[in-house]
Amino acid sequence: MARNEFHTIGKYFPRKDGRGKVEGRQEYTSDIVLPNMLFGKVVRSPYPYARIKRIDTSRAEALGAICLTPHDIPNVRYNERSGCLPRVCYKDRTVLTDTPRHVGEAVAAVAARTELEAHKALELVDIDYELLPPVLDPIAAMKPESARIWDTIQLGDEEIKIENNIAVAREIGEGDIEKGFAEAELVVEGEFKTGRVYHSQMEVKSALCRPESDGGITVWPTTQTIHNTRIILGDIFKIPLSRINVKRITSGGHFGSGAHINSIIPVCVGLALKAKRPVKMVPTREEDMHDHCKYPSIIWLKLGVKKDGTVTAAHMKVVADIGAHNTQAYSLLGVMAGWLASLYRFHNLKVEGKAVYTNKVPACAMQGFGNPQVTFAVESLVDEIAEKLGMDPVELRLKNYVREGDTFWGQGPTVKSIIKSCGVEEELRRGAEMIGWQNRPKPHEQQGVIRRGIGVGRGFHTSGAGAPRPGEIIDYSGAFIKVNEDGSVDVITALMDHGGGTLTAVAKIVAEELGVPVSKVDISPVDTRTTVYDVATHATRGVYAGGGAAHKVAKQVKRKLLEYAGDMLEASPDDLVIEADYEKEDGVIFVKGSPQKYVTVSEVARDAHYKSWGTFSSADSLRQENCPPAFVTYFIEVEVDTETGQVSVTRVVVGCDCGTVINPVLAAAQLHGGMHRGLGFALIEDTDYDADTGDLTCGGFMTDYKLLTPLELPDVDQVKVFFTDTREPTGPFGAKGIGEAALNPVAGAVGNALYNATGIRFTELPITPEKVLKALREKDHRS
Amino acid sequence: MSDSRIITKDFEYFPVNSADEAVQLLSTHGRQAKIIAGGTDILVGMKLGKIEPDYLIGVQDIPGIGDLEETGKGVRIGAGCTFHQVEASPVIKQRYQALYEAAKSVSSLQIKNMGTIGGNLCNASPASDSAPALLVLGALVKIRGPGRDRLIGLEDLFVGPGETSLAEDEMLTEIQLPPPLPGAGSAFQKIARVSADLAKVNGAVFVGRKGAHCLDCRIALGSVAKTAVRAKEAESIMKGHEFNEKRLEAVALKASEEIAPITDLRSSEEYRRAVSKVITRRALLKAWDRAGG
Repeated sequence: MARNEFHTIGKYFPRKDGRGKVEGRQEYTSDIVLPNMLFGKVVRSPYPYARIKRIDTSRAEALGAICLTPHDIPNVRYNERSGCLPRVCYKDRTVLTDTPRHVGEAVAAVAARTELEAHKALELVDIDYELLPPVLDPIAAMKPESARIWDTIQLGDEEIKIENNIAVAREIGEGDIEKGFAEAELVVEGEFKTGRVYHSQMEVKSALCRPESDGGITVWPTTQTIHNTRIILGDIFKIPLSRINVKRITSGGHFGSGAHINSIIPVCVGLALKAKRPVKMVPTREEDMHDHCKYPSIIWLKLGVKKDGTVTAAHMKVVADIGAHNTQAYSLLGVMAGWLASLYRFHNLKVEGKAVYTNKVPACAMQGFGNPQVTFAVESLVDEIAEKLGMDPVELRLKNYVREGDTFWGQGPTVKSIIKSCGVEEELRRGAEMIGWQNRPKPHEQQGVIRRGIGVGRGFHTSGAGAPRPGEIIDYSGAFIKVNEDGSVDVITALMDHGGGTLTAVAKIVAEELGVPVSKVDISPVDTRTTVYDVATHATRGVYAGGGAAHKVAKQVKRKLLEYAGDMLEASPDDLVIEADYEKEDGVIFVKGSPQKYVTVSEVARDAHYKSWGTFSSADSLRQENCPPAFVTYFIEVEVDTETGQVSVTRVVVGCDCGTVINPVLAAAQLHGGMHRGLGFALIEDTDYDADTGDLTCGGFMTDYKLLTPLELPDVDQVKVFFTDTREPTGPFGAKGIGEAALNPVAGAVGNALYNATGIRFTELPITPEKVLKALREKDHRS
Repeated sequence: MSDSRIITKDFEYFPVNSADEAVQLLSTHGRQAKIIAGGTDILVGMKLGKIEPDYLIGVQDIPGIGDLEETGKGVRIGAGCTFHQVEASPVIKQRYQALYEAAKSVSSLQIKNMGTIGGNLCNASPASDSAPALLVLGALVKIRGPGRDRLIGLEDLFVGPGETSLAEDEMLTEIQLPPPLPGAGSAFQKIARVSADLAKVNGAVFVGRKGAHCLDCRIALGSVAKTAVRAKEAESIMKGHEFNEKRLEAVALKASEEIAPITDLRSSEEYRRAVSKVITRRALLKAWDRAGG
């Protein structure tokens, strides 16, 4: 089907949830009020590492509060993230702990009639702590003399020992790096550090749980996955999944912080079961900031290259500071190797990764899952290579990038597929022209207070975690679609929408396939009881995998519609087509080439209803067998104030290959959003720790955790977005993902722009004005 | 862990209709009472348990407390004027540029709509944006105590971080600015992590100009000492002399040496000192230009 034949794909339609959100009528967990509901609060450790000697809840209970301590919870260790195979599932958490390992870890919980009462009760829980020596630095943590954070944890069902605080160590390779570096005529290396970024999702992680009379529970959680939430709750509380109903409720964004069950959800369930009443928990921002962050990484990287610019080898060592719990460190180290392998055709590569426990807030996936960190390092070094070889950085990238026909590692070494669509060349060539690449400032030649620089950074992200054979990551989706008695369509999917418009995209995919206007297709409110499994909206898989599943099911429903319509029109279903008629606000079914004689979809639905034929419906699952990369390239212009070290981003050109664009406005918005958080990652976002208290220096407050505001961003008309002319053969109508790809290359492009402006290579994120000014002064002293 | 959503401590709220009524309540309750205007600092402090007053005295209903008016002698700014009011005032924008720029730079729109200039001064934050501007503009502050008013120079209000020279039973009622002289100009500069933030360093200058000569010069810097401070040694290098590049450099350098910045989570001592020099220089150039224009 040629793209101009689409009636909805690629066109702008208002998002389905837009009106409700703008009018403030969209319901979030915090809005729901149930009869007899209590309000829950978590008692959190003020210490980074301690053992509880005594816990006394009697004073809180005297207030009438329900109190929950570690003794009230099944002693089950779990991993917040389900979605991988048990043999790679590292379990070190319990719902509440008597040995808190970071400031803010949940040690007890209270529930009372109001939030105020709950807070007062919380302050009356008496706890004696024995303080243990905290370990805050990941490098120091690995030394034999360091205090141990964990002695043993559970891997699958097996108890394993933790040595030197190393949660996981992995070595992943391909080819022969010795041979590769021997072939190299230039070797460059560098050490890169990235910050401990907080997700800063608009809605804090909340939960509401109602115990049911059959011993089951109903849960309204903030999550990216209702089914995995259900599975984990089933594991912990030993309730059959058929009696756990997890509702999908609109969420205020995640950025990865809800890809796993959040720590507050099982606490809420525990409280509700004990109270035998519904309990709602809506933490404060400072509690939320003590719950999750991005994986900060130290990356040592060495690249080998021939004089003609052909890369020959890559060697990367990674230390990821995972904090107090291992949420998905095994996967992280695997994907970091994959992101390296899939950027350029190294052929010979070796990755040695260590994920290290520290007494800090546990890290988890955040937009890019290790990719922004690796891409920053690689794109910085690739620029250095270009300079040393006297090659244009754009040409060097064009020579080496992993492209159509090459193998792409979508999710570490066990999830690989062959690239079938790739717009990298178009991104680089068109982007370079749009930014004025040929006229960019010459490095080292600028004078004056304000110095300008332009940098390029490219990257990608996987669309899902599918491969020809299933890997260690579970990855499938499903949908149930039915045509209602009036011809309107219900789409019942467990897919989540984090605000990017994923569910509206699914509605469009279904409308496109069924040949009905988008207005006829709606996304039903759902829960785990009424939907088939969907792993999660993570890994940039929403449209590609979840939308793909909906597309598959829509085809099945369409077949049924056409078979029935064939009888009505006295024609073979194979000869029929459905076309969306936006005037009739209906789908029109006719024999191809003879539109005069037709029936509409609503006529067909009514006919089937009145004749008691049944409902046109289908439910099915889909496992995508590919993980196509969405490619994104950034050209970023900065201005550096050499007297203050302040960096302003003045112009951005971003080229994106997300296959067929489902909704151009929302796709562009994804790029703007990715740019925003990417610039934050590059320039400002971080959570420091106070060595004395072991707590965040910002205390968990947004007052001192700064995100860039619109005033720090380039003017909107200085951000030019374009989409490449590509189509992914395995995606719904040619679509792939976009979300995480939108962020991954930003920091590399910023670093390269800063180098272009100042001649200084910045290797530690965030690149604050303090660091810039210091580096400029050191450079002045040297020269 | 604190809870930024709720104030757990019980307190009583007294909205008053006159400064005298407020002063009387302050006399009665002493340190247990606090004045609340916009609440942008005090409510945060209460939520975090940093301050725990038993009584809050609401002053925003006092007639005139939120007025900003030109008088024969300059401008009178009621202590309850919001930053938005100050920023939106044509007379401030035209004649007291440093204050206009300072008010404009304060945090976010929401804070500007609630936060008051008097509250900002009484909060005595070293990072206050209004303080350096008002210091160089020669502001006087009017203080109401039991049965009396007193008028002091703003510099005498600040004692330390969060500390003022106000007695327990006194409240700030207004800020008075002298009329600007012909050939005078002022400017404010601020460096912060993002625009809606407290300053890493801020600074304001005022110059009186006659031709190439600087007749008067006042420099104040914020976030670089325990209070917003005047850089008087730097001022003396400029005052009465020709305004030229060399002198400008010397003044800026001296200003950066006079201060006592610290490292905290917003910035480092080293950075603060370095950019104090830069913003002093830039503000002087701007003010000089304005004075001549």
